[in-house]
Amino acid sequence: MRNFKRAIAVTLVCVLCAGIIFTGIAEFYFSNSYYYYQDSETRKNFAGKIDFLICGSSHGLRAFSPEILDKELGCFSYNISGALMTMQGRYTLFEKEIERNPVETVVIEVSFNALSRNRTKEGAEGDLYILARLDNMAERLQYFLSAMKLSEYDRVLYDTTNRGIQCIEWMFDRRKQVDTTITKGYNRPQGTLDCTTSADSYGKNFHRTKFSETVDDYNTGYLNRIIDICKEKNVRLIFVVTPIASRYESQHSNTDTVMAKVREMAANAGAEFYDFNLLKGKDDIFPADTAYYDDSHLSESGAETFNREFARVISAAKNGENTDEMFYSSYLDAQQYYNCIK
Amino acid sequence: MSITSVTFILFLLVTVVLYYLIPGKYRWLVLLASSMFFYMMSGVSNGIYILITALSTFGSAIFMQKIADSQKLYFKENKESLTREDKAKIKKKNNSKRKTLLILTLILNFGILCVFKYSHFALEQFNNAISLFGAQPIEDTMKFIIPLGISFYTFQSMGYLADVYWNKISAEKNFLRLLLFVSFFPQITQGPISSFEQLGKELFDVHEFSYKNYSWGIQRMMWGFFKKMVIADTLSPWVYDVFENYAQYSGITTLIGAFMYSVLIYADFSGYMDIVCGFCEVLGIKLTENFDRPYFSKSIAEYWRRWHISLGVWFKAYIYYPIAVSGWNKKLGKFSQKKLGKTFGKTVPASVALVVVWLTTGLWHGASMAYVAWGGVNGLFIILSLWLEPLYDKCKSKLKIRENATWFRAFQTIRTFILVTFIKVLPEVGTLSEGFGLWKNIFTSKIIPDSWQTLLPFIDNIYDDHSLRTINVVIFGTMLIFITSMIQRKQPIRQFLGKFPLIVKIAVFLVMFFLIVYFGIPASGNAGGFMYAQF
Repeated sequence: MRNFKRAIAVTLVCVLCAGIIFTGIAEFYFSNSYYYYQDSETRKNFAGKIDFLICGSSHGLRAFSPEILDKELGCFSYNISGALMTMQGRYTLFEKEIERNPVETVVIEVSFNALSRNRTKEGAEGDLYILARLDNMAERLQYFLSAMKLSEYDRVLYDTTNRGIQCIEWMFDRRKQVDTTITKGYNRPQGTLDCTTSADSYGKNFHRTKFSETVDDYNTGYLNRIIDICKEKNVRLIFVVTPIASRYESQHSNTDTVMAKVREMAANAGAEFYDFNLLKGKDDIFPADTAYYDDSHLSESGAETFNREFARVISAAKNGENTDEMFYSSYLDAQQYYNCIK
Repeated sequence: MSITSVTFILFLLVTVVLYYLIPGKYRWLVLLASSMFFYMMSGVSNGIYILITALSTFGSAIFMQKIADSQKLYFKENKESLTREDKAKIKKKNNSKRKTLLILTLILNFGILCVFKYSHFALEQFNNAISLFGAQPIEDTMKFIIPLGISFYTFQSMGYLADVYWNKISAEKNFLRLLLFVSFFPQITQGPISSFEQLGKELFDVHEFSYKNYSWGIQRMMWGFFKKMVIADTLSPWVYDVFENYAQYSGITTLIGAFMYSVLIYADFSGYMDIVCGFCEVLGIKLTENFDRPYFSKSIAEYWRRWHISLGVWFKAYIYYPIAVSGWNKKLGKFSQKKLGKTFGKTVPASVALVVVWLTTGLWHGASMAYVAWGGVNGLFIILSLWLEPLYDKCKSKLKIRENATWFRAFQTIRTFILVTFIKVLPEVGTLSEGFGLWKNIFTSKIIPDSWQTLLPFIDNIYDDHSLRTINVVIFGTMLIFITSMIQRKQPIRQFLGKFPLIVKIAVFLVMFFLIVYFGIPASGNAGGFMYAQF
């Protein structure tokens, strides 16, 4: 019995010491504001001011710049999008912000994989970012227990430790820090990928693959909860598809089928829907050589153009103008036009 | 269930708690339930094969035992009426029955093992053979998922059966106890391959909780996790990058890759052993040790006595000795003595047994010609050293080299390490010709690295902070293995640690834990499972 008590005592001391060390390191990650997703303090300070909320995944994160939108639309916007953001993550942050802000407009970024994303396949990364964006330990613990699987606990421990150490380094290197009060959730991509393609390569790759069409109930479930809150609060709801490189989009033969499901959701929610891949003159507005960070994300200059175009479109819609003429009705139409000019 | 996952650690925790909560004589049932759960997690259908092995081994051993027991009883009851000839006749008849049982069970179990492990290889060889005669090769449409730990549990159970056959032990009468022996989860994926005499006693004896066992066990597990996750899993992508691209790398880079492989496989395999032996120590169970500082060996033969010890012991007991002492081999020895002299008279029977042992060892490690060649090269070195021993002794005495001189021992150790490294990489590159290609590249590559990045091209962004930190940790970890091995020469490392106050031990634990979390977890995501699990 003495043996057993001693074992328990020593184990508890070890666990306690380890807990103190790891919590201490993780605290640098949770309580600082050095990076775009470490914005809980910033959002707390903005409470009561945000009237335009953008909610999306990495496509939205790199497309919507509140700095530009505020100037173009005269609003106070904030981008709560995140890389590999799960619908649960979106919902959690959205619910928090809509509760403490006089939100009038909500933009939901929906890309080709918005409904088919699979949490199991994608892993815990998206949820790990959310942990830093919540306000306190209790909220983090609640989210951690509801979103993370047992098999991911070690990854969470590593990730929070690693990011905590990164934050300790950033404390001494101001150049690496981001002012989240200016970026307001937007992640400015570093660099550009030339996404131009030859007619030959375009032809070879045309419709050679498909996007996943499997709609995950996990995604639709949380998305519907966001929609319900917007309806309840009588908020203007806008579904947006951000531009992706035409060479990438044209490789997929079922984009219309995939996007039809999103359109249907938007229609049922009474939301506006704008697919900027169908914007007439898209390839001139978003030049393939400068507008993209990679095939499916905008670059800094692409995002700048996108925010102006987006502001123009939603302002026109607000003024009662017909925006349908600004867009092709389907990907097939857009591709036919593209093929035609080729 | 990955052995480095949180799920597995929780599983171990539950097993330990249940084990000590249950009255002593039923504790083995907790181990059986845990083993079955662990095994079924790899796929319920896999359970069929381990059950076939356990049932056939159990039934066969029981029958053999019955035959032996009834013969004993018959001899006892008819002590006076039986003549020596009668006894011999009965013995012969019974032995032949027991032999038939043994052979049938061996065929069944090794048959299952061969079908799963060697069907593709056999078909490939068959196709190669018939293609020489212009015949059309047969298409390989076989799709097998190899049951978890089949090589290990088959060898362990067949060892048990042979021991019963040779009357070394009595057959186990309780099927569930035998099933636990066959399926004991800590050792099922990578060994050690234990004898029933040793493991059975450990499994079924009552072990009381002891703080010393608990703390030593946990310490050993931590050390195992460190070796596996921090060193082996970090090295793994680097080493396999060299193996895949050696033709584009310099000779020195390829050589570094080969040496890294030696560190990797030791850290990986011995790391696993430390985890499972440490866990068993917490339960008070002592598993057979599989390593005895193998890289400090002075010859290839000694290296194999200190590396994967339990496999070596198995081959020695069940293949080497039966062949070495068989009638035909003894005759061959006499023939060799007559024709070639005394030395060869002694060494030829041993050499024949060694050839069989090493070719089988090669095949056991992998179904490819590269592994057969690897086994062959190991065997060749051992046989040559046997044959050349007299000459070697003469040279030493002529050059006045003292066997115990430190410089000579160091020379032998380094030489053996280099040889072992070169032999080890042979089957790991891919095909046999690729293995030889790697050897060739080390000596003939004309590429000269002109920067750290070209010297170590397998590390992305070598000047990046995280890469530098990782390299430092790997170097530190490798040196730590070396230093602990040096300390182990004099005393067990945990005994050495035991001299320090508790606070120091806790600090060591925390540093290890931090390194495992910070370097080990991301690295274990990069690499696959344990390397020996594939065997």
